[in-house]
Amino acid sequence: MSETLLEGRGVTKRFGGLTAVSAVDFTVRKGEILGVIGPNGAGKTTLLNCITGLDPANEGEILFHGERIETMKPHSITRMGVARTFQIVQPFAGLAVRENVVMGALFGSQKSKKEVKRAQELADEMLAFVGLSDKSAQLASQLTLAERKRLEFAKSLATEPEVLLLDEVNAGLNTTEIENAISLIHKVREQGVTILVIEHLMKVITDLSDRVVVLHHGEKIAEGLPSEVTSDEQVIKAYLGEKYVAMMKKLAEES
Amino acid sequence: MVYAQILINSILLGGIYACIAVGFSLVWGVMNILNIMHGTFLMLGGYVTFWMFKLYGVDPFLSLPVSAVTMFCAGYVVQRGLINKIVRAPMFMSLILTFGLQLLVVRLAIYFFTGDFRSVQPSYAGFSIPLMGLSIPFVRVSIFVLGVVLTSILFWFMGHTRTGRAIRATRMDLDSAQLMGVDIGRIYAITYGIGAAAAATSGSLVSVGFAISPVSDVEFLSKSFIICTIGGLGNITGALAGGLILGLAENFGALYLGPGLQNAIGYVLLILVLFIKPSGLLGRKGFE
Amino acid sequence: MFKPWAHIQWFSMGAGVLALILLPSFVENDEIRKWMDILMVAILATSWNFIGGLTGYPSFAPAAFFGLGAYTTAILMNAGFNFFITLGIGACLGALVALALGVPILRLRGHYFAIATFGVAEFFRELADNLRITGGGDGINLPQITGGPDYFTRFFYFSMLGVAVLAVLTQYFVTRHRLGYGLVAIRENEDAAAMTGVDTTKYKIIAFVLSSIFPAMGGGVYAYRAAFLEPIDVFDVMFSIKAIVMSMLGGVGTVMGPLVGAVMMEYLSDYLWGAFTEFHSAFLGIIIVLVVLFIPRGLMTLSQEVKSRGWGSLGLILKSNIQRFKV
Repeated sequence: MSETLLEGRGVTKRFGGLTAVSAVDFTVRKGEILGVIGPNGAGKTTLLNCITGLDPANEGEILFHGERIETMKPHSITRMGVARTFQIVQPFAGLAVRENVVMGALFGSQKSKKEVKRAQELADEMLAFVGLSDKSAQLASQLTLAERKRLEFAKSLATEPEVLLLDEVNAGLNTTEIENAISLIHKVREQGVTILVIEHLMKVITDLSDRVVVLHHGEKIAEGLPSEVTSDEQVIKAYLGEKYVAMMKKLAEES
Repeated sequence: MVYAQILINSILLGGIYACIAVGFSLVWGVMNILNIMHGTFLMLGGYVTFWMFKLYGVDPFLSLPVSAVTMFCAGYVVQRGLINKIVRAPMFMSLILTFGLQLLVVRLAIYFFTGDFRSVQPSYAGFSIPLMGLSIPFVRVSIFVLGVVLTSILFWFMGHTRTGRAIRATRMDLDSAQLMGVDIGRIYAITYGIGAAAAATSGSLVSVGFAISPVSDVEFLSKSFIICTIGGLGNITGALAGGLILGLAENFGALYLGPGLQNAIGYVLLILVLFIKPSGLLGRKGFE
Repeated sequence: MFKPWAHIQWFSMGAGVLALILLPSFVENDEIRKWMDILMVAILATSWNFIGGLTGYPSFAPAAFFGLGAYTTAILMNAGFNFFITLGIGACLGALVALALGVPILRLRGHYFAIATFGVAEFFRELADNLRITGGGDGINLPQITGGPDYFTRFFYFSMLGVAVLAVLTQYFVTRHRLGYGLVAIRENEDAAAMTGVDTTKYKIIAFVLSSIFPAMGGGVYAYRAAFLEPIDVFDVMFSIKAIVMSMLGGVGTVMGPLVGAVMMEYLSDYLWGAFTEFHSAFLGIIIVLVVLFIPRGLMTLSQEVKSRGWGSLGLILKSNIQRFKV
């Protein structure tokens, strides 16, 4: 088993009376693709916000390379090598596509304090990697949704992350676009980047992930290989409701 | 006894302050416009009352409706014709736009009205009510009562009428209000008009108890800044609390630190509140 | 920023500075004084651009730093300090105050930030009105400069020019350095900037400090030249407003924009309504309204659009500008 890169212990986040993430443990191992699934409102995005420091956790520890990061500021966490994309894409709308990626290259990595020129070269590489080279002079606000998602990718990759957190990269995309996005994720992994991906579509996550964690109402209800998780009764219940489970049981008995 | 007198003065002043700030709070809270014209409408309202008294001998309290209606119309036109054109621009734009208008209007007011300080002096201006050894100026009490009553009417309007509810709907979300069939351009113009009318009314009241000049608009504007920041946006208790706190701080500050620093106290309060709780003491989160 | 024609800019900047250096040899003292005023506004506008234009935080603090610098020079020169040393001390003081205020104030966004900076400037004015060291509301005298009008007009002109060149050069380098990129990232989307690795708190404070230094120095030159200061003169909110409006007129967030805006505004106002000094602020008000409505992105952007689409399309461009943000 490869080493643990990112780890959470008892991560808890409350908003007023609502516990959005409740004592969640997780480990992300080097080189894997870990899927986090759960219905809407399960606390997936909140968990990402805790990890990246945007909305720090109330309790628990988050470790990256064994170092505690749960109280660090977002930019420090990014510079350590944790990058993310947003479900609702957050481009620098008034800037050109290329400049968006330059930002990531300039500020993302602590390893080398980069100069503008070097950052522009890296940005061009990343745009080529995600297939946006021909759009590099356009304003980010002029891109289609699928293109903006790829821009998010390029921007995050330009920070030269060790682990990339993807928040619902497929939301709002059509089937072809989803296929493209999935092949892009695999391509990123081949570059040696570890990936934690959030999804609510079961099908996508089983195709994509090496392991899966299931969240429901802020709690972790299952963890394991995609095939194990999808046959877990609790997971099916959470996803499809009691009625569906009963129907499946009935069907199984009849056959 | 001195303290009791100062306390009463502070409360009377605080009530007027609340009345001054309420229109500003409405415009800011609903449309996210920092309305630099607020003090200007207030000043113009004061002049409506002043001239009606001076030229036709109309009692200042009777000219309130005239002042409110004229400034409502002026505000409606300004919003419809100018500010609505840039409502979706970065919010800073509306601030600068209203500042430009303020420069123009104040300059014209100085030309037409001169820069002199004016005050309405009805026959009952000097009356005061003796109460347990304290003296309570009649005019200030009337202003206080009227101010509170008018402010309450405004908030009743916001909560219980169709237009009021439409205004609050646009505050929550511009696009979905539009989808619900609200004519945003008109609602915004009405809101701004109400803000201007509220300013004008308080200006009319102020012209009786205090003195006004075309350039005193900035003073009232900065009071509004301070009151809204202290009390928070969008509710009557916030405006009242902000007004009272400012009134108390100014009067007691003047007592202990000398009258020269009276205005400085307001700014210190403003900056402190912003440091500690940017949404105001009674404000809710979410307005930027 | 982000323009490939860097050396054209270098060339035009060099030519501009050379012209300004040679200017006093060719024109009368009156004209020199006019350009001194233009340079002063250019300093304010360029400095505002650090925090307001690049970073997107609408500051009303220029007047605060201008007044601070002016009073620093006044008080220190009365204590026998050399004029240029007081400028340096004023700049440091401005930077320190900006640093101390920046930490809490820059957590605020939007209107709250604007109000806080306005409050700071007004508070300084009230303070200067009441402190003994500033002479209170009676004002404060400075030592008179010796020498004839030809000499001191040029002395103040070149002092102002020096500060202006310093401000513009600083801005030029900032926009080409990662600092400038980081500030623009904050303006465009602060959360996303943090997620991209920009230390937003640090960067905002740096921008605020940069925006304080040059107005403080400009204020110092103004003070020595005026030889007498009153709180209401130097802590005037109009300094802040002019800085903002000039930046907008020229083009927010560009190096040349604030300069173009300052020259245009001061020169135009002199020619168009120089005779109506009384109504100066009214005309400024009209200009503000027109700029906000028709050229919100400034003359620099407008000229580029006109260049690419031809003069005939000017009307269309203005029309689309006014329709872009309406409800």
